[in-house]
Amino acid sequence: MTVDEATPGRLMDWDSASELDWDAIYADQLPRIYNYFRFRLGPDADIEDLTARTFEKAWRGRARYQRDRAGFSTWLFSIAHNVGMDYLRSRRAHLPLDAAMEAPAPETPEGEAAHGSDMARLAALTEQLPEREREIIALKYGAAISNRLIARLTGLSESNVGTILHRVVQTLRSQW
Amino acid sequence: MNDEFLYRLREDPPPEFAARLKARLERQAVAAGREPRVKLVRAVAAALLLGATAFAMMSPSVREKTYALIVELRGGEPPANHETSVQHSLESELPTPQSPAPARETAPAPAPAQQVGQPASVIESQPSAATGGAKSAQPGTNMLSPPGVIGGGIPPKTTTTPSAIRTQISIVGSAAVHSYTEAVAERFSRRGDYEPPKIEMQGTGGALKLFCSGVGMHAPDIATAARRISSTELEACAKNRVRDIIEIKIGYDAVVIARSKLSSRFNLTRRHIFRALTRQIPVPNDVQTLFDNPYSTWRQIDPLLPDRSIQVFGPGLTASTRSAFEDLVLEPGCDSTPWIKALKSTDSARYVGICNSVRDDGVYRPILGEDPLIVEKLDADPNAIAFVSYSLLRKHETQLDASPLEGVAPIFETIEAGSYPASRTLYVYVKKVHTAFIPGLRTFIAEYVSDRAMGPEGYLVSAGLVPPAENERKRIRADAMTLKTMTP
Repeated sequence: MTVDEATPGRLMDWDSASELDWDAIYADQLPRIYNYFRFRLGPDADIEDLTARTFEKAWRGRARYQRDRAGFSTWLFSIAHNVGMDYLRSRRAHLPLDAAMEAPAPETPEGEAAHGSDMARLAALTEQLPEREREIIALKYGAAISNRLIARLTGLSESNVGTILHRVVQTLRSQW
Repeated sequence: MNDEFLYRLREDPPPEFAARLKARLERQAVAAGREPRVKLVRAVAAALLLGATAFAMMSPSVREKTYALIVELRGGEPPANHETSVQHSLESELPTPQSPAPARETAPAPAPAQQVGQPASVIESQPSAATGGAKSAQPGTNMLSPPGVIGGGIPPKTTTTPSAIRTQISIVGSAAVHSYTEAVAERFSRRGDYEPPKIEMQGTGGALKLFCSGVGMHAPDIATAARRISSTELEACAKNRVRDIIEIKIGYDAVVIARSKLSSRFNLTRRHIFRALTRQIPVPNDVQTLFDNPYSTWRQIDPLLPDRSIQVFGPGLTASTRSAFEDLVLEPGCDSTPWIKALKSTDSARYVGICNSVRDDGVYRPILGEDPLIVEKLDADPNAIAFVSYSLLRKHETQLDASPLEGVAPIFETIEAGSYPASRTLYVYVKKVHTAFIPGLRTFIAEYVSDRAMGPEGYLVSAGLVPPAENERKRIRADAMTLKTMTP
């Protein structure tokens, strides 16, 4: 059973009885955001720093989500996405020209796999995918959220998300 | 989906990091100091407002003026009393005995026999989205179903739908038809009258099996298929009381080999293509062994082919033509090796891994399904060929040529006849009985067979569909609009 199946609709709870339990939300969302960055950006990124930045931004504005856990989840992942994109942009911008010319050619998937790092191997394989597909893989398997929430975050239809996942996973499986 | 290998890569954040971050967030909240103060200020403000209002309403003059304001807003008609006015507004929503069912779907599921025995029903032609979207069927003018069942067809969604009635169209289908069904669903959903359909990919065989599992809320309304339903499947349908099936041929899928008019043609087979493009190929005369693809020229694959470098543009992973390319070109080429073909039934994951993994060494360059720059890309490299949809080829027919595949030229006649090897006919199957009680199902069918979808300039054609010839298309549309079922 996948995480998604084990916790159906968990992110959609609407707590009408009282204010949300922020400790519980932190405990639930931290591993999702942490793994979202791991899957999205690979092992070389400073995952802890990016996770912390996401939570700090989100926590500052959590008062407006007093009773809406689902709304907060959507917002949290939007922040994570933006933090990730800022990181990618800054990484590309700050690579000095000399360093870029001297940088070794990226390893082939086979080369990465030889180091025994599964995350590095995944990063090498997903680097060949378009942005949208990488985002969806990170949300589905890193953040372990439902196709429905992925559809809401990406603006795609739920069935389109399913289609993309089916294709990409098939390919990753064959190259793994 | 075998995706456990991805879930296994998750790991918990380090506990010390989690604790550190939590402490920092708490300090951040205290330092801001806003939370306790905000609550206090809000509570005090609310109490003051409540108190002021209560105090004001104790004054007779304030009460009188408030009542007068209410009367003014009601247009000078004070209610006799509150209870009467509420009852009146509810009663006005209930139907009169002679009027058809209102915007409440309280009718039970109709008896299938009654539906089937009716004279030909008609789907009212829907106005285009440009003219303001679909209108609900008008009672007395729409012969969707006879009176006494659900009058005038199924109205749009309401908040009072009993849970027993599914309000979402359920579609199971083949990957080949998926992008077309998605496109129709998007147009259909834009009207806003019905819920977006649920579309699940099952492969043609799986989809038809589900379709034939029965009728009713639990079973899909529509199945899409990359081939015609077989007689065995029809028997299974009949056994499960799935009769009166509407068959709609929506057109054809075809993958063609396009090249610049500046380059010369050569005749390829799917076996050549498989050996040129897949990441690993079988060792000749050695069963079950694969080696990394070493070929750089077509002549290395077959001495009868030209001595040209292998340069191919082909559908990327998520291109709409990728499914057709894998199913109609790569896999049949793969099947030319018997031991790989046998894997289809014994180890399908390995079969897919071998047959559908294309080279990533620069020989195969992925493109979008309908790449607008394909002409320029092919002109820039006369050695290159591209696997594109037949529709795209036709769009650029003054600038691109097509090579034959296994000796057959990709023209409409060979695609329609099925003699062009990389082509197939696509179908949509609908349960007629479901059209009587699933909201929007008839509208969805009407959208699928409309000219704006399936016509020569339709959006499905832009997505790669080869529509049937005009006369046949008109007949298909007329049959679908009258819910004509397959003859047994």
